Amino acid sequence: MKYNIFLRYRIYVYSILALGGLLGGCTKSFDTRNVDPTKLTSLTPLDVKSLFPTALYAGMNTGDDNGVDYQQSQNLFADDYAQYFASTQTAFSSDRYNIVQQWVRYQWYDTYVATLPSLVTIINETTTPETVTLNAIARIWKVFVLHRTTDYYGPIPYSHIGSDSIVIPYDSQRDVYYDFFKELTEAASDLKNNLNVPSYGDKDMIYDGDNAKWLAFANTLRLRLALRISMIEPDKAKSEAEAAVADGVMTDVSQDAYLKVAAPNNYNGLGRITAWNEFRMSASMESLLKGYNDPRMSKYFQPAVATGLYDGIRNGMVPAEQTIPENDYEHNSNVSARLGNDAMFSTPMSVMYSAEAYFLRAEGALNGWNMGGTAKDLYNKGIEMSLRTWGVTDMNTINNYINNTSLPVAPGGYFNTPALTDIPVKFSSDPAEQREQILTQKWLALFPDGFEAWAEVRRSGYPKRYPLIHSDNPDVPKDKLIRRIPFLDFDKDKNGPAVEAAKALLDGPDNAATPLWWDTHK
Amino acid sequence: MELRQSTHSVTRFYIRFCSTVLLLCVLFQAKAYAMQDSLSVNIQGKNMTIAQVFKTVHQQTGFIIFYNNSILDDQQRVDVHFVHANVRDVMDFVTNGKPLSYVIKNRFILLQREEIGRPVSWQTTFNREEAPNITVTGTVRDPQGQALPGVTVSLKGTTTGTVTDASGNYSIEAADGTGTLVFSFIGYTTKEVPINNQNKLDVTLDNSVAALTQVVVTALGITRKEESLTYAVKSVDGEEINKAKEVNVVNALQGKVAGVTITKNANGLGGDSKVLMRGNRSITGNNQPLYIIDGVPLSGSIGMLNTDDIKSMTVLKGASAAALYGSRGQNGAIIITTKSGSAGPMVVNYSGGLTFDQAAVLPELQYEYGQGDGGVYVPNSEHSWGPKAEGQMVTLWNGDQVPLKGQPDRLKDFFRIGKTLTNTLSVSGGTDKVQAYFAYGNTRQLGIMRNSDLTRHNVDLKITSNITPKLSLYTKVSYVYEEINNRLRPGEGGTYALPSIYRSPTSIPTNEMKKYSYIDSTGAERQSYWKPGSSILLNPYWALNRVSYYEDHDRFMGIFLAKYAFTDWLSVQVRGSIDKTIGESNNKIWADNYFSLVGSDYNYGTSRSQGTNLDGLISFERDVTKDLNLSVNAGASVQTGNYKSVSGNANGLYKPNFFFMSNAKSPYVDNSYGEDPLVRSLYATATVAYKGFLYLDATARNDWSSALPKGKQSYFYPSVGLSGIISEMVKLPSWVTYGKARISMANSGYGGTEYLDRNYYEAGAGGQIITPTIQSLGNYKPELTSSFEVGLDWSFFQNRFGFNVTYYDTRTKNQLLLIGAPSASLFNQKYINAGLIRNSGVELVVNFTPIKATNFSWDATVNFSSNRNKVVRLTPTISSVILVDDRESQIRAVVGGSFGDMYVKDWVRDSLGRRLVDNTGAPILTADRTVFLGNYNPDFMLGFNNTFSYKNLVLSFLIDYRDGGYIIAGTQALIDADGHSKRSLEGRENGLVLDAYTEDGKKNTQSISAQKYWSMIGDRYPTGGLYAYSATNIRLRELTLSYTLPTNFLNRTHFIKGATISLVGRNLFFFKRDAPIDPEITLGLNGGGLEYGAMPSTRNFGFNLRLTF
Repeated sequence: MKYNIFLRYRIYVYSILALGGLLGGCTKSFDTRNVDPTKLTSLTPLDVKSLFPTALYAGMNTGDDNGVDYQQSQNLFADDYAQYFASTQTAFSSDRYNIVQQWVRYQWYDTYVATLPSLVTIINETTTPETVTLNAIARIWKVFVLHRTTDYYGPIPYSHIGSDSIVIPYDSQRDVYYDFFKELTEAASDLKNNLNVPSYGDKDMIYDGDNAKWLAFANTLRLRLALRISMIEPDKAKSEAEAAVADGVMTDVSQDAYLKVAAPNNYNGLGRITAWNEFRMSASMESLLKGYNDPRMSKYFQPAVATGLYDGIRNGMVPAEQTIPENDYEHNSNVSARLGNDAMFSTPMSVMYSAEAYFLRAEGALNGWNMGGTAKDLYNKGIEMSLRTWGVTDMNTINNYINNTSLPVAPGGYFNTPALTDIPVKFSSDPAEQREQILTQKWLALFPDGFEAWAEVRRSGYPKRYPLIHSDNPDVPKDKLIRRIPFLDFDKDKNGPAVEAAKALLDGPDNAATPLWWDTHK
Repeated sequence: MELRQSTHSVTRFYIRFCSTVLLLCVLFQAKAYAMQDSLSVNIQGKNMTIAQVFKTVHQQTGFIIFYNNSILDDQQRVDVHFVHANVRDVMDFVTNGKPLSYVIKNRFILLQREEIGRPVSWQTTFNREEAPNITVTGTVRDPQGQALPGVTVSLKGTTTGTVTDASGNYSIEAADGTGTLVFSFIGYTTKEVPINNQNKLDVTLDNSVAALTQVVVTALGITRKEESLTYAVKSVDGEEINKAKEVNVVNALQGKVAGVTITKNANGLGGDSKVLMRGNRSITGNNQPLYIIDGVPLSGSIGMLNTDDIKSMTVLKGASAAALYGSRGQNGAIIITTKSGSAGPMVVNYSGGLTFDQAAVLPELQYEYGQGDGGVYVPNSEHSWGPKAEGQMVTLWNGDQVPLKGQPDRLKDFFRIGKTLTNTLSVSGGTDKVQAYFAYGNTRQLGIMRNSDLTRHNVDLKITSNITPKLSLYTKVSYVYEEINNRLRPGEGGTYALPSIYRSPTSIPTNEMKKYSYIDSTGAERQSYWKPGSSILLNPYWALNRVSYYEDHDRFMGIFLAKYAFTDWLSVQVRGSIDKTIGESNNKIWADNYFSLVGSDYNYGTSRSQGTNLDGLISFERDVTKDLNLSVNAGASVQTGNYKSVSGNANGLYKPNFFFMSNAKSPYVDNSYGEDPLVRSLYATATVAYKGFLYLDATARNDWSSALPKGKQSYFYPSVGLSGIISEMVKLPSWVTYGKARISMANSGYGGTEYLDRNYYEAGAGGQIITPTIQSLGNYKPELTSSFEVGLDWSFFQNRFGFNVTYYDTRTKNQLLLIGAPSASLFNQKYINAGLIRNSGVELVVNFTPIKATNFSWDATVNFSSNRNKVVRLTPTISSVILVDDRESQIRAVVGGSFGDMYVKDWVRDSLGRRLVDNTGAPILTADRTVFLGNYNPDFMLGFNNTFSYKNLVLSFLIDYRDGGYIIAGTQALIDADGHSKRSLEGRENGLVLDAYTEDGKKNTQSISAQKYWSMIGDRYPTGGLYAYSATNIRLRELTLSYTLPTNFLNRTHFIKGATISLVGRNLFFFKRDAPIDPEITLGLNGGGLEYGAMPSTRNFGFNLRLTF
């Protein structure tokens, strides 16, 4: 009997203790348990530095782990519009100027949601003299990322980035560009004055903490932006360009900006998506590279699997044309193994080349600006630098190419495609032809930066381009160049009044045919 | 004290505590079993009625006492004092001095009026000189065909009587074959059956009026009489659930409960189903109901339970029904009660089923044109836009020469007949002190996909014991082990095997596809596909054989409960439970799968999740005055849970196709951990019953959730309801059997999920710090649902006809919404508290029995429900929230619209609404998914259930009708664009002149090629508006035919007491269907209205066998 009572009450004692304890006993843990133990609620100075690689990878659209953001921000739009590549995937209508909102918003998302939070945090947290170089480099990268974004859409939210308002207004592209120049000037000056102040060190996945290289990068970017506005505001362009060159732009391949890749997280965006066989070399590339017998052909592309030949395709095919064997991915050139899938953890991503600086200076010289050289010398040096960038170092080969007088070929094929243009590599004496040569060679040298290539085609009209086979966009006929990406539904849903107001900042309706501020519709 | 240290130590202590108690319970019970105590009765009380005494005897010993009310004076009060008495002592006391006598047999006591001078016996033969010359045997069942034990069977006009045994069998001797047997049982209409010289009489007893006072299990496991409830509930018993042998028990409710929409997942084996009660309530949160098993919330998947273990399921649809469950119950609750043992001899049950599954709705393909494009045969084409396939010899991609002709069996050959084999063996029984139920079940399922299968073992042990007359313990331990190979991943994830077969050129013979690999010059195995390196598709047989996804789960569920009855009107109980799942996944990807970016690849992961619950309840019930009964339950609970996982991704393998993590090229490890909020609650429910016909019901609950911001963690919600049994209050015409009206109002709250009140940075691989993309809500408030419902439950003509009707209106506000933030805020989304969603609707259940004869009856039930959903308000500045952003459709909640409105890409129309084409005759389509299509939810649903019983044969069928809603058929869009579909035949030879107008208003005369047209509107990003179909469908959901073997036949076996064999069919055919797919198949639990590369739904045939030993 006693035993029974004991057992009976033991159950109760346990139960009541447990119940009481859980209900009232642990007030403190009840209040503190709602903190995620796997994440950080505040950042140390080292953590702040560690935000920089995030901004670098996301800024190059490789923050996503499967390559989708690189594909949908750059490859399906800018790369096709620049006519570096053309689509072999029947489901991709973006190559026919169809603005697939679901895809193109990746550039926007990567800029504002994936990249800028890190950069803004860094900029806000680095206000001491010891962190001045961190601050300057973050601002340079911020301009780099945002210039690609404004060159897609035109007006963008800029001066109110990071605001907590329900509606965040857009700024005109002119205002954005003016601030870019201000930021780059200040950042370059901060760097120049503090070259020995350590910056990101091994968290700098581009220059390993070499402040001098960032300084050259900043000035080259400033020069690039100066040329961009050279047709709409020539005087501002001239002063910015001359100041940039005077301050020191990139001059050698050793300054080329590459973003390091490393398994398993950080891959080469282009490499990641090449195995999908959804794009191939464009007919434009084929016409030029084949016609010039360009040593970069095998660096950029590989022979088609089915034929062993270098072949390209036209942009804007409909599925019925894409699936005709001579137009499909088996019969046309994929990018070279260096840019291919197997190298996605080894080939670093190209950010900016020194070659571009020479072509920018060559064009500036044509404009009569003081670029520290003649147009011809700078043009030839640009070609040399590009060939060196891609591993062509033999001076004979380089000089042969520079003095090459052969002309682009007619790719022929299913659409009986003619030659893209009729200029040789060898620098012409005709200033109009010179401009086409500089911009065409720059286009070849920029590869695979479709963002910059498309922007410069819009600004300058060079290189020439093939009309699309079909356009699915009623605003942009197949023989016209697409001028911008319309404002995104993505932001209309969340920031509607601001998007509506931003339409007034455009020089035309909110569609893909309206040129951007700097685009004088050449 | 140790308890105060930290959450973790408390949790650890709690787990230890649970395991200790569980172990203790098991030990106790094992001991109690061994002792085999004699039945002992302890009753002490003054002024008790005899009925109360009998009730206590039953509670303490399990003995059931049968008697006719007329023989006892129910006003008589007695004072009793039994300590360690046995039942005979009690019965002697009760019958002492009265003309009554009793007989005890097994666990039954029959109390009868004593014939003067003649003792009663089970087999009285004293009034006849001659020996009886006939023995009648048979089985007594309820209207559902369930055996009824304890039914009194007597020979009319005599004192001869018996009681049916546990299997409902009886055997009685009659003097001759002309007598009449009287069958009576509490809750059933007494039935008189003339013997007519038959030796075998099987009888079905009908529910009496009183049967409407069915007992249902409600919130907190409180059992209540259905008539006292102020809200609509639906109880489905295990027999009904088991009829058609669904592996996922929830699917068995389809069409059987008004107001509940069940949508099967497109994942095939082991997939969870989407269950929606009275519409979608939460905009961006969870709309799935809470599952309660034996009184405690389930943490893992419902689909893993053994359906054979289920005794009943109660569906609590409204907030009022679930108000006591708090946070997790606001979407309704499904309360599952599992089987338990009862005192009496050991009963062994076997239940087995074998079901065959056949792919039911397959895409309609064309077999007239072969592989190729533009009318030309192309061996590398993924399309069927080639030449007419007339048997001309062609060379395939692999070099083989075959005649080019359509392969109509190709799709059918790809699938196999799926098989599901289930077995459950259960043993139950017990003494008056300890009752036990043990069951082992296994399920072996072979999917219709040849690489897909599931194996599951379920072990359940449940022990109930009355340690003392006042203290009872209950323990339940369940273990489940499950292995699944190649659970399908629909859409473009995973292997893409299904889309690959759907999208294979229709002229490629199966035996050529089956040569899915070859060895290349380096000795490596390569995929043999007609278009190597395809960005999306694979050889479908390669996909089946060279990608392997495996997962297994170990699941442990334990419940213990201790209950102490201070008196017969006051008791207290403590209950604890744990539900823990440990999972493992092992995914192998062979080299040359085009979708793998790193060659052959391997993923391996483990995860564990658990939920724990501890609660206490004090129950009070007694008559306060003669007419007033008060019952109060008050309790407290603590709930929490956590999950953790570690998974490794090889990122390529050094030695291809050697799947082991040590062989990983650049392994990446992902590690996650999280907790469910700790929710503490106090709650109470009170019911006041007046004269047994008027019930006032009130509940109150206060929760404290650790997920809410400090200082604002508490939220309170009450409910109140009233029901009246009108038929007992006023005199109604005799044809009105029963009438009840009810009304209730309730609030319920949801405290959100953890970690939302602040922003976090993540420390990622490679030393990177990652910024948050979702802005937290520092001051968020609990979501509140308020509901109102009124209803009537009436029956007429002795229950030949009856209906239940309910109207409800629920409003959910303060929703924790995840909305888009302007990107320049540097967040992608943010949490806000806003919004108001209203659901209102009607549910109607009509029961009728058109035919009721001695041997034949026809019972029918119609369930109807219709829900209207309205998004009343979002935020002051936001009027539209994207719920699902899919390639086929954007699904939005727009103010003024409904949850699940779909916006699609569509044909551009002119001001007259005419479709426009460009100057080449090609359709002009909108650039994006901007055109409003409609909603994916049904307008109304109707289930029509029929049961025909003829002697031992029962035939039943269920017709299920869903009206309205849209579904977008993504697979159709793919096969149209590829030229595989039957309808892509249209315009093949001469092109299509679309019935449309040009932008300048002229009728279109231009012709475009079929391939151009279909590839424009179809393909992977289809024009949703042209692939939207009405989801309306009427189907024969279920057909069963069951036969119970006659008892006298079984008696010859000497060991089988009952046997039922049934033939079942599910999803047999559609009476009506517009979509080219089964519109019930959806993508994921949150999506609706979208199909893309989904599993075909299956048609199932099978048979079940149930044996009782």
